[in-house]
Amino acid sequence: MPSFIKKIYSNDGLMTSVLYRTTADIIEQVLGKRGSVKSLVLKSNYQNKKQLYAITCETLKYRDVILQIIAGTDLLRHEKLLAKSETITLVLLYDFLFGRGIQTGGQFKKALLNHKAALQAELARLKVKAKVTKNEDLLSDLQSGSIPRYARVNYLKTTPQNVVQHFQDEGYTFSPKSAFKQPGSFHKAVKAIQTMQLLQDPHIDGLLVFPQNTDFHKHPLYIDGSIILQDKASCVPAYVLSPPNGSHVIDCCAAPGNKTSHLAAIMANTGKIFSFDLDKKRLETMRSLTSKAGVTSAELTHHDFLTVDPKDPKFARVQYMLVDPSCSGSGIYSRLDPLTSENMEADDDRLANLASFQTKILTHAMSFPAVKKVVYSTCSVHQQENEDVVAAVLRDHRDSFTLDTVLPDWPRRGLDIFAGAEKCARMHADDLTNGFFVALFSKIGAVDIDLDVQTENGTLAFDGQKKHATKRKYNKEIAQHKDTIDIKDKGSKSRKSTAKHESNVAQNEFKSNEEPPSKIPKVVFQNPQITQSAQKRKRKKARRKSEPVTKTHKKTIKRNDISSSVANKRLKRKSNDNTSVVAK
Amino acid sequence: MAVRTQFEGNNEVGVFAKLTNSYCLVAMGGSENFYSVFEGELAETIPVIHTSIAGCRIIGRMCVGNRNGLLVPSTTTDQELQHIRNSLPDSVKIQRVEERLSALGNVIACNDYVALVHPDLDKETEQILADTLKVEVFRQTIAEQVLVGSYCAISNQGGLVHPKTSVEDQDELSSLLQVPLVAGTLNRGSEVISGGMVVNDWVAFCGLDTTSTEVNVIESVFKLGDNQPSTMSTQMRESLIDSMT
Amino acid sequence: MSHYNFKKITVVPSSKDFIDIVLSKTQRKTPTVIHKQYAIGRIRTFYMRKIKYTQQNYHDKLTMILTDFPKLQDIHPFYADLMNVLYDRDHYKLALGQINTARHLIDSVSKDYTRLMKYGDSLYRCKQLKRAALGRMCTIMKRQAQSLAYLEQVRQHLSRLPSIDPNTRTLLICGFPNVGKSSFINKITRADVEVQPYAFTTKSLFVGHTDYKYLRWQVVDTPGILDHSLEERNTIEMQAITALAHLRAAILYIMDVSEQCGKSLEEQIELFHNIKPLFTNKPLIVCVNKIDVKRIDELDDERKKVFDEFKADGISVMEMSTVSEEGVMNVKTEACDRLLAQRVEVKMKGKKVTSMLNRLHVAVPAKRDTKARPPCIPESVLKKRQAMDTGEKPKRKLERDIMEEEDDDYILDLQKHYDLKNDEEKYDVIPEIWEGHNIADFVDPDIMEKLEALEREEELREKAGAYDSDMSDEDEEMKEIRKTAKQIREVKGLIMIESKGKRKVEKPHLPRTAIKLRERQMERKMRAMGADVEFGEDSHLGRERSKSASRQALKRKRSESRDPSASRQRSSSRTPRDKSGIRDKEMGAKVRKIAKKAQQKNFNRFGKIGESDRHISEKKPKHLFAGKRKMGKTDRR
Repeated sequence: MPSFIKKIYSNDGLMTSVLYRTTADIIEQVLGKRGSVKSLVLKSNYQNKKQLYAITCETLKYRDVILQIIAGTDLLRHEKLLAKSETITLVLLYDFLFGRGIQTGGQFKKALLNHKAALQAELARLKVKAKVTKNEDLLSDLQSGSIPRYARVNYLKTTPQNVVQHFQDEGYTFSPKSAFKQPGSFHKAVKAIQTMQLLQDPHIDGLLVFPQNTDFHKHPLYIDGSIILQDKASCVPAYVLSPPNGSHVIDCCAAPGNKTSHLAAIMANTGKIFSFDLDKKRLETMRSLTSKAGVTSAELTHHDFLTVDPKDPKFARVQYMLVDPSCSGSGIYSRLDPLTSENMEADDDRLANLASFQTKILTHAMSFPAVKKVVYSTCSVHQQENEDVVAAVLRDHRDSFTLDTVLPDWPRRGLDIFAGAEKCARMHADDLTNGFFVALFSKIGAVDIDLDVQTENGTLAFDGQKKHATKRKYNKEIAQHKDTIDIKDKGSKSRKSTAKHESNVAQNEFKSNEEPPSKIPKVVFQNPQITQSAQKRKRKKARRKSEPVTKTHKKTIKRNDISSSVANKRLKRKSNDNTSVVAK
Repeated sequence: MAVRTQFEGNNEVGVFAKLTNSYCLVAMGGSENFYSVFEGELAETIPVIHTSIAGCRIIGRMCVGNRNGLLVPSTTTDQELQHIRNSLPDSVKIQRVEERLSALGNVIACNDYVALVHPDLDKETEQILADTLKVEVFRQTIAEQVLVGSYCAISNQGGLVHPKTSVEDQDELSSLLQVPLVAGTLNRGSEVISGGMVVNDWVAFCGLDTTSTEVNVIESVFKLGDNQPSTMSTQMRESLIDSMT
Repeated sequence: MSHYNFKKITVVPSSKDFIDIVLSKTQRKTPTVIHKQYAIGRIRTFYMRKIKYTQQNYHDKLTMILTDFPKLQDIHPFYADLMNVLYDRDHYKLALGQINTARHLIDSVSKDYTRLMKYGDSLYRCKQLKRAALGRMCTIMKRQAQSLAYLEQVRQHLSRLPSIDPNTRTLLICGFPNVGKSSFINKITRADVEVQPYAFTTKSLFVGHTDYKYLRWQVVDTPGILDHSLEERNTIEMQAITALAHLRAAILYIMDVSEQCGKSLEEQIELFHNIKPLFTNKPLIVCVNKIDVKRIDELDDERKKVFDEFKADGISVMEMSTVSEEGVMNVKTEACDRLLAQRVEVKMKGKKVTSMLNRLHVAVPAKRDTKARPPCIPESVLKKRQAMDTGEKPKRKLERDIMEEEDDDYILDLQKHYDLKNDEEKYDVIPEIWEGHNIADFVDPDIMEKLEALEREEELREKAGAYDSDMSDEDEEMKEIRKTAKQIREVKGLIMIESKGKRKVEKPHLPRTAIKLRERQMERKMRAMGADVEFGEDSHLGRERSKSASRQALKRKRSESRDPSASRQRSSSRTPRDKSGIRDKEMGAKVRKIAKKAQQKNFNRFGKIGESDRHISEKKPKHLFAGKRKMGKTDRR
């Protein structure tokens, strides 16, 4: 039982039977979709509103379990009284089995206590069946469609290989994303995930999937910031934006900072991130969070983003904007049980308010002079906050901004209410994430600005004509090579020349879908066998992302030389310890 | 420790005695041999009581009890009830139960915390059982047998069930009872487990015919000696396979 | 196992006994009386029955022999070979075969002669035929004398064979004579095999049993084997070879490096290699015995090398001494362990093991809540357990000891151990409760005193004349009523007397309380009363009362009438037994006729002599009473 319930249970024994009755009424109305829990609680005459709310929510939460118990014990057949008022039985049973025990219930209590032993036995039986120890565990297991636990590997601290290795040492079984090539196989695998199992997310780079009940709070990797618990949905905007190393980014509504740290990780702590938030308290927690994650490139400011001056020379080089404004949060699944959630009756006023705020913020973000890419995301499922806002903003900036396709292979697209809505992406609890919406604007005729990229080799300068997409890839690759690369020994000692290729293959299992095409000519001569399969894969992917690849072919070779030399150096150092690698 | 004994030439020890952690009931027989086996083992620790229930000697099958209490069938006479009450320590509650399935020992199996009962047991009896013996009550069958009391013997440390209980059922039962369980026989292959033995947390009595393998299984699963239940699948495994096939 | 128990074969009688047994049985169990005047059919059946009965007896007895003796092809090869070694398979089979032939011959003789019997036209001829038949049967049996004698010998020997179960866990001890095989079995089992310091002390197989790992192990001691070819081996050695060849056992090859047995180490090794084919697929241990005399270490290098070779071949070599008992238990446990492992491996491949795999499973509970469920072991028990380790406590006096002491005077004291607050209350009488009330509450303790007091009071009252006063103060009316009532009663009384007179029985009644008086008593009584009655022979006093005629009841007893409104399920009348199941009158008549006829047939109406009547045709046969007789001539077969 959550601690807050314990606190608010007072000694007003006389009131409780009224409490049970009121709760039952509310639950009946909620189940009949005649109002939300909160509004009904507020409407009721019962004085201790907190208590009423708590018991209502909890009863609803345990409803499935209690119904199972009732069915298992045949309670309603034996007790006519209880059969007459099922909802009160529900509330009483909740308080009896999971709460603090029935306080006063008169006849009901008496009728219920006649079956005390049987009820408790049934509960124990359910627990045995579900193989759980605590009542709460029963709950999470019985709730269907629950979303798994996602953890993002913090590239600033470690690499996926190390993390996976760590978990494997703890006894976890790992399935890499290469196992989910077939459509739907990942979804199935996540649905069937069991304790001590670990999957690699095929969509987002460096994202790991754990079973829902995994407890990370004492896990060393969590404590040292190597992994960050972040839902898949909230990883999307930073991933979609993927600013190249050295770029300047603004995170408009930054708290709690997961996205900022993700951005910093993508840019490998190079460049600059300006994070704004209105709430001082939340900004403080964000500060501790980012420092724990090892973010050094972020500048946290307690300031309303709307009042930030876009002309400020400080922001002259800001090309990337991440707009994740506050929203109704209707997509956040795990916060409330779907039954108790507030979106039963969408509060139109509130939504309209939020939408206007979101539009304002988005427009403001676009007003920055150097801006090139703007990501807009919400964790709402309402069209008012998502497609409508995007449409409105796009209407106003028809000549300066266009929509770019985000996550091309993601199946769930934006609601088709305006032309180009399919370029946005939506997420839903059915995709095993929180509800989410993301859109990517890009400025028409944007000019690139020189970036200063910090790598091991020193500063690399890029000339400004290059297409940003290509550059992003390079930078990413460099970032990859900066990370430790452990390669399973496939004869790397004897064939050092092929090792580089293998390292790429091994890495590509883990890294993004985008394959550096430059490797093809290099590798062909080295090891035709491996290359063939690698080529096949590459071709497949190249078909999907054909345009930028072919265009930038030549340049990539050059870049890759640098990156491969880094990798080779690494390899030579590491050739002795053949620690395992994920790709098999 | 497991002791082998018999009641007037009969191996069904569990029929003629009832053993719990706080008392022991023994049937009145023609001689005191059977009683004295129990007396010698237990009398210093817990009362060992001569009694009959409803004029019968098959007391082990008539009543059910644990450390906290004792349930006897409604056919128990006042004198018997008074005698048992006088002999038992005050901490033990004794109660007469109106129950159609009056051989309580055959339809209920319990230790100090959990009881398994016949699926058709009366609701009231179930409630009395839970209150008097302070146990959780589960309606259950063992190897498709409804007489759960006959086909298993349980203590707070372990349990022995009908030899045909499947592995899944054993796991389920074990989770319900929260003690390790083993399927086995006694009295040279008898399946009626609690008919053939009585057990509490530190001693067991079984029929004279019980083989040494069976005794060893009993001692290890009920943790009566130095052995732990896991020896079953390690040290004793070979002997068990060779003797059972 | 029970089916290798050869102790239950019935005794095989000698041929002479056989004939005697069968013939005397025929004599005893078949009718013996026949007369020539009988119908010839009856005479024929009479003799035919004798022939058939004799044949049946022979047949049964011979069949019994054939089934009792084990068939070599049906029994375990170990026993088959052992019997071959001991009794010679051919001889054994021949003997049984002959018995079988004899049975057939007897059957056919019987068949022939029963057929011939149809042509017997007189009692004499029939009797001759019978004699011939029985004679031929007996002759056939007489010819089996040798087979029967042989089989009897085999039977006796078989019953003394040790009951070796060829399928159970077995340790098999073998080696040269006089190396210490029997000493070893005596050490690990309670077999008590004779041990002597010369070769071939053990002449046959011996079995002992030992316990290890909660299992029973069979240990087989074999006679010593000498090193020569199979053809040259004698029966004693062959038994050992048979056991080695057929028992799936752990083999203990005992060696004597001290060479006290009279054979050199080399010879022993040689023998080992010669019989090595018999050890394949069996756990094998080479036991070096008599290490109290000489150990392997004390041998010279060349000989030591032999043992190294063993080890190189994967054969374990163990040292032991049956004298100092050093290493004996090690050898036993090693052998048992290895055999057990092998057996388990084989069994795990079989199907049977799947049915009992659940019994090897220890179900460990998955925690379902945080409640602790600790065992409840009292302190005293834990203390006692520790005390057990240190030493025994003095034994407590048990109920059983008391019972034995007091013997017949023993009464079980149930109240002795009552756990009450106040010990003095132990033997208090337990109140009787009835429907929630204590019966004692409703019993007044001084009711007797109260009664006495009342009586005294009453007495006083009586004395005081409380009841004397007459009811004189009645009015006229009342008196009138009383008068009338009196008259009515008088009339009623008259009517009653009249009625009684009508119904009176004119015979003297004997009251129930009457006792029979003896004449003398009566006399004495009468005398005492002063009546002088003449007692004597002619008085009727000694006579018993004649039985009175039973009087018909004046009224018929009425049975309780039924409520006519109640529906009747079926007629209460029953058909009489002789009419039940009979359709109509004609059928009844027919049935009666048949019944009568049947009765006539069975009933020996004329009291004729029958064959079941005892009849001695000649009271004094000449041969029994004339001349000098030998023993056994007085019976009359």
